[in-house]
Amino acid sequence: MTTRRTAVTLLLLGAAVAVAPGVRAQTAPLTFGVLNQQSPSLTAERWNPILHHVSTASGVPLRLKMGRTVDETDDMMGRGELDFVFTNHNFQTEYNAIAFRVIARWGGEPIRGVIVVAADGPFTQLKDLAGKKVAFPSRDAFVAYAVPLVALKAAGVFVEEVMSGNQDGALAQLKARQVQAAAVNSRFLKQYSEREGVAFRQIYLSDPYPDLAVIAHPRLPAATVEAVRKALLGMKTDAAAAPVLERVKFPGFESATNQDYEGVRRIYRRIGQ
Amino acid sequence: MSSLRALVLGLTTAAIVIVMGAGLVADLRQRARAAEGHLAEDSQRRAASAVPLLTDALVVGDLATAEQILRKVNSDGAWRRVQILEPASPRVVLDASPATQQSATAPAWFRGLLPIALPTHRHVITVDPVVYGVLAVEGSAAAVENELWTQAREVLSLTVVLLATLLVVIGVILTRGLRPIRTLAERAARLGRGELSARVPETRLAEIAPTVAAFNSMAASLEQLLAEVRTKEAANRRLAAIVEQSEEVIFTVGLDQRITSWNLGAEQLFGWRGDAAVGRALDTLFAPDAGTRERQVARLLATRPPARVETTALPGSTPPVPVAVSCSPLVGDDGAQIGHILVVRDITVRKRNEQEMQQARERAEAGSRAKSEFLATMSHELRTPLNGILGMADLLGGTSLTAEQRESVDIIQGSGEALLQVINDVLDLSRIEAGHVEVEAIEFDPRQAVADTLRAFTAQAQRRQLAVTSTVAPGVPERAVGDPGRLRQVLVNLVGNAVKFTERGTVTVEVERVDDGADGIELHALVRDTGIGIPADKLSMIFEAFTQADSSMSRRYGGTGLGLAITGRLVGLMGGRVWAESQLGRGSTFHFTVRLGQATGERPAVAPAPAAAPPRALRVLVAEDNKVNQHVARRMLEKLGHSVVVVASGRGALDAVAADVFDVVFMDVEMPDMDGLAATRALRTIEAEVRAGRQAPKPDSSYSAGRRIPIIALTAHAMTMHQEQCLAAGMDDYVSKPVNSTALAAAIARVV
Repeated sequence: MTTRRTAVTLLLLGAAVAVAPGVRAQTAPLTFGVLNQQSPSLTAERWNPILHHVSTASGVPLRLKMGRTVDETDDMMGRGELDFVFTNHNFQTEYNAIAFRVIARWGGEPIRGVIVVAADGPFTQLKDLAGKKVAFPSRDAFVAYAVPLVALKAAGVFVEEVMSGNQDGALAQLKARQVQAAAVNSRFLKQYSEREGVAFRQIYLSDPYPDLAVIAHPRLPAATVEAVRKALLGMKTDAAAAPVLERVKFPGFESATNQDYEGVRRIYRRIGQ
Repeated sequence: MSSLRALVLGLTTAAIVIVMGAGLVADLRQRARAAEGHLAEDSQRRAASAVPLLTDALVVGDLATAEQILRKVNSDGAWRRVQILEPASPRVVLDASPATQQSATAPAWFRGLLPIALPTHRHVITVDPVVYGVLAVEGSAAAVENELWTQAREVLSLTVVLLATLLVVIGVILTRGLRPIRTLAERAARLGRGELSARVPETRLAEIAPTVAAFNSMAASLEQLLAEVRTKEAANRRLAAIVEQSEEVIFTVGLDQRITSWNLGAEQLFGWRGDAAVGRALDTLFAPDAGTRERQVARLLATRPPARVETTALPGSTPPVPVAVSCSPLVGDDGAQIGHILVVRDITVRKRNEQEMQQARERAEAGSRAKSEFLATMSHELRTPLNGILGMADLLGGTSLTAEQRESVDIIQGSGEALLQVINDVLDLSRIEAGHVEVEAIEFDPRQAVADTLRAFTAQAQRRQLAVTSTVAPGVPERAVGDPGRLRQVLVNLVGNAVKFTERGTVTVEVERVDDGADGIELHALVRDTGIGIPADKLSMIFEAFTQADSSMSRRYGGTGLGLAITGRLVGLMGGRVWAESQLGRGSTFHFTVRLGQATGERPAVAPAPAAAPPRALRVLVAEDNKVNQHVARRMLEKLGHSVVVVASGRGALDAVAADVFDVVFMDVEMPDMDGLAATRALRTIEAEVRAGRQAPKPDSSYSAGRRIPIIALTAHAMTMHQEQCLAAGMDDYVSKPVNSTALAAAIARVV
C-alpha cells in the first residue's frame, strides 16, 4: 500500500512537472479539484488545458485532482485535500464549517435544472413521471438533482430515483431506455446532445442558478488565491487563453462571491443537505 | 550387397521426410510470420482499448483500477510484460506483468526453428497537455509457439502414419514386384548350373514381363541350341565313326595338298595305314593323266564343287585301280576353307560292266543294222522281181488279150499287188517298231484329205455294190497342221478293211472336231460298216500285229493282219487313239482320234491349175542294172510316148548324160560300178562346175549353163531313209519299185 501511494505520488508529481516545468523547482503544485460531472478523462480533457493556462498565467502551479466519484471528490474537499475546487457542493450545510471562498464562477448563461424524456416517448409533463424511473447524476448534484427533486416534490410527483454517478450516466441510461427520464443541467444537456447527436424532450426547466463556483480553501495565502482568481477571470481577455477556451468550448470565468450562491444554499437546505 | 527393397524404402522415407520436413518448416515459418503480425496487431488493439480506461484511472490516480484493467485485458497472457512507466523515464510505476509466464510446451529446438520476434509496444497515456504515464507491453510468443508445436505434431503424426502406410504399400509392391526378379535370379542360377529346363513363370507386371519372356525365350533357345549341338555332336561322332570305319575311301587333304585324315576304306584301297598316309602328298596316290601327264586330281582340287573325275589310283602294293574321285571343300568353323574332302570309289566293277554293256550295245546295234539291212535287202530283192512281174503284167494288160488271158493277167497283177502290200506292211511296221517313222507337221486340209481317201475307193465300192458315204462336221477346220499322208494311210487301212469285210450294205465315214479349242485340234473319225463284224472276245486283239479275228480271215479275205497294228501305231504317233465296236454279223465301227496343230498362216492362195500341157515326147535316160526292170521301164516309158536310152550303171549314166541331151533321168540306186547316189552327186557336181563357168559343157550333152537335169530315183529301196538319201544326193523325185506307168508319168510330170 505504501508502495502504491508512493507511486501515485510520483505519477501525479511527474504529471505536474510535465504541466508546469517553469515553477516545478520553486513550489509543489496546488490541487485543483473538479466535481465529477463527467468521466475523469473527459474532465481532464477540459480542465488540464485550463489549469495549464492558469498555472502559467498565475505562476501558481495547479494540478487536477479528483476522486473516482462525487462522494470521493466531496470527501477530498471535506478533508482539505483540495486547494481549489470547482463545485457547488461546498454550499451544502455539512461543509459550512470550512469557510471556502468563492473566487469565480463558470461563465456563460446561468444553468438551469432540466428533466428530459425520450423525444418519441409518451411523457410530456412532470405528472407523467409519477412512479417512473428518473436518473440523476447523484444526490450531491444541485441543478441536476436538488432543483429537479424540489420541483417534482412541489408538483406532488414521486419518482423512483436512479443514481447514475454523473450526468453522462444519467443521459446514457435515458438514451438506453433504462429510465423514463433524466435530470441534468441545461448546459450539459446541450453539450451532450451536440456531442452524441441525440435529442430529448424537455418537460421541466428550473429557474436559473449560477453555474459551479471556483472556491479556494481558507488556508491558502491571499496572494496565491488572488493570483489564481485573476488568471481565471483574465482568460476571457487573455489572447493566450483563447485557444484553450475555444478548445474546451468555454466562454470563460465570471467574477463571483459567496453571496451569489445563497439561493443554492437554500435549495440544499430544502432537501435536507 | 544392398537390397533394392531397402534402397527404395530408404530413399522413399528420406524423400518424404525431407519434403514433408521442408514443407512443414516452411509452413511453420509462414505461420509464425503471420502470427507475428496478428500478435502485433492484437497487442496494439488491446493496448488501444485499454488506454481510455487507464486514462480515467490515472487521472484520478487509481493504480489499483489501472492494474485490474491491465490484468483483465491480459487475462489470456498474450502479454508477457505489462508495465506503466513514468513519463520520460524508464521508472516503472505499475507492473501488471503475469506472475507466471505462459508455459512453453514446444521444445527449444522447435522454438529455434520459429524465431518469432514480438517488439515492445509503448502507448503514452495523456490528456493533453498532461502525460500520466507510458504503457509498455511485450507480447508472448508462447501461445503461438505452442499452437504451432501442436499443429506440427499433428502434421508429423499424420506424416508418420502416411509414411508408414506408404512404406508398407511400397514394401508390398516391391515384394510382389521383386518376386519374379528373385525367381528370375534363382532360375538364371539354375540355368547356369546346367538345368536347361529352368523357366520363370509368366508375370502380369508389365515392367518385368518382357524380361521374363526374354529369359524364357533365351533359355528355350539355349536348351534348343544345346540339344541341337548335342544332336549334332552325336551325329558328328556317328558320322566320324561311319567315315572312320567306312569302306568307302574318304580322306582329307590340307590346302598344301598333303593328307590330313585317312579312313579305313582308304587303308584298304591304298594299303597304307593312317599314320603312314597322313602327311603324304596327294600326287602320290593317283596316276598322271595319260594325255597331259598331269594329275587330274590336282586339277580337281581347283575346280568348283561338286567336282568329280575318273582316274587311276596307285595303291602301294597292288596294281592300279580305276577310281572315281569326288572333291568338296573342307571348311573350318570360321567358314574359311582349310582343305579338301576327297571321296574315292573303286569303279573297277562299273568299268567292267560298262565295257560289257558297250559290247552288248554294239552287238545289238549290229543286229539291228543287220535286221534293217536284211529288211532293206529283202524289200529290195522282193521289189525288184515284183517290179518285173507287175510291170510286165501292167504292160501285158495294155495289149489286146482274150478274156482268159486278161483274167490271168489280172490274177498276176492282183497277186503281185497283194504281195506288194504284204511287203509294205511289213516294212511299215518294222519302221514304226524301230522308231524310224516320224509324223510330219505341215499345213493341209483335213476335209480334202478325207475326200481324197474315199475317192480312191469309189471304183472298188462300185464293183462290190457298196455305198461309201462320208460326213464331215462343220467344225472340222479347212486348215490344220499335221501329217496328211499318215492320216490318209489310217483312213485307207480302216476304210479298206471295211470295204474288204463288207459283202453288202454301206461303209460310212464321219469326222468331227472334239477338242475344246484350247490346245490344238482333236478330230474324231469313225468308219462304220455293215460287214461281218468281230467277236467281242477278239476286239482287244485286233490291233496287235499279225492278228486277225480269225485265222481263217486271211485265208478268206487275204491280208497280213498288220493293217490295224500299223493303224494303231500311227494314230498313237499323231497323239490319238483307236478303238473298235462291233457286233458279230451286224458290222463294226472303228474310231480314232488325232491331234492336229492350229494353222497359223493364211491359207495359201491356190494357184490356178496350169493348163494341162499335151504330153510331149521326152528323151529319157534309164539307169538300171536289172535286165527285166530295164525292159519294164523302157516299155512303160515308150508306151507313154517317150524315147528311152537305158544304161546299166551309174558310170554309164554319167557318160550318157555327157554325150547326149536327156529331158529326165530315171536312176536306180543299187547298181554295179557306180551306184545311183554317187552318179547323181557326180552329175550335180558337173552341173555346178558348168554353172560356175569352170567347166565348159560339151555340145550335145545334157549339161548346159543354168539347167538342172531332173533325176528321179527308181529304186526297190522303199524305206524312208532311202528316199531321204536319194534327195540328199541331189535327186528330184522318188519312185519305188514296183512301178507302173501311172507312177512314172506322175513322177515325170512333177519334175519336168
